[in-house]
Amino acid sequence: MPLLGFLEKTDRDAQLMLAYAGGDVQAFNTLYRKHKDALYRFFLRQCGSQALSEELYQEVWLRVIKAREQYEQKARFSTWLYRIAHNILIDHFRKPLAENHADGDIEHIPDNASNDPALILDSQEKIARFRIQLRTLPKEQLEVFLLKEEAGLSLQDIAMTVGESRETVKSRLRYAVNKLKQFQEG
Amino acid sequence: MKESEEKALQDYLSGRDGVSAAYRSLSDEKPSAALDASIRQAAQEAVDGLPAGKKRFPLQVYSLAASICVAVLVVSLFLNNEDRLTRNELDTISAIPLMDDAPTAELFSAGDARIPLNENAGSQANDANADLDVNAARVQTSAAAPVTAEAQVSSAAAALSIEADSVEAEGRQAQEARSLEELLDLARSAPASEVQFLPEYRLNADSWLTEIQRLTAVSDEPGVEQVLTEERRLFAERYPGIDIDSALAELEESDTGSDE
Repeated sequence: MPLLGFLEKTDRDAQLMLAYAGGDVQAFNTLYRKHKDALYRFFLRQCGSQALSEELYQEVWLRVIKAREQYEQKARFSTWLYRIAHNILIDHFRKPLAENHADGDIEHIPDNASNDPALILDSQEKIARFRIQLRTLPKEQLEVFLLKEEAGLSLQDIAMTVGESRETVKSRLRYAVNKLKQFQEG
Repeated sequence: MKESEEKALQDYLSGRDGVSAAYRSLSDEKPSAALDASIRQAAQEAVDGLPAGKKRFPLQVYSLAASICVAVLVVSLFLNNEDRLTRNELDTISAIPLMDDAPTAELFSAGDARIPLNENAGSQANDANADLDVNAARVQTSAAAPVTAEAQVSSAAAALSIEADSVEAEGRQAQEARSLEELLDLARSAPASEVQFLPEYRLNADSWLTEIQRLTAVSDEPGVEQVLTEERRLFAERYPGIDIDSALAELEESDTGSDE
């Protein structure tokens, strides 16, 4: 079966996007609800700033809305969506430092469900340390890792998203996973 | 590359290690509700103001249909006005007393009726020109006929019906004759400058002479003499340099020559 025909039948998101391009706002709402949290975290993990993350996140969706009539189902919708996010992030990193927001925001540490103070401290400490370790990854490795974790993309789709070869992406992901694994074992 | 690193990657990809679980333990941050609302509103507004999509398609259809209707209406009005303009022009050009009572088609038929022809219509016109009172008398006679028929014929009902039709037909003939007579009177009373181009044969001297020649040939028929005299008078006014009799003689000679 040709790739495009396979995508037409399996990629529900692409069908929703096409429906939105035809004027179905409800299709967009469904699509937005499905991808919004993961996309937001994709930015938040890399920028560290909630304000900047929201700004970039909003920019992605505005581009999706603007490009609805030109949308063609050449790849999975999520690949297309994160390709836009990747480009916006690249543009942001390329800006002069003075134009960029200061990444001084401290990420929100959520409440833990457990009521045991010892467990809370231990758990929060582990989470905080993992978060820090995550931030120490090179941004190329971090992006690939997030595309795998948040967007759920395959190696091939990640390669299409970031514009690199599959082997390059695989290598980046391998380095990222091993560093995080070493941290966990340490 | 160590084999352990490759194995760690494969374990990660297959979900058999704890990295993914550790990542999932991080906070589940979400965009603010206000941000969600603003993006959804932007999506809605984009569709509402869709510049060229399916949603606007019906508007284009309605617009096209309305344009066609307007175009048809304008053309229809134009044609109607053109028709009226033509009639007005005819009224202006042919501003003679006849036009007040008769339409253009009737005007020409009236002109033809003035000329007794050897045809049925011509004979009717001749009758009209001869005497309206005669027609009236025929109507009266016909009206009285059914009484006689009723006494003498056994199929009285059929005879009455036939006679009634006959009376009606005679009445119509008398009315037509009266109308023709009125038209002729009006034509005769009109100035020569207005009447001279009325019948087609007056458009040139040859056709007019031919008509005078034809009238001369049947001048012994009732009423023709009067018409012939009028035609000769009008011709003399229109062509004062042409001697009618000489011209008729030449025409006669040429006809004879062509027959031979």
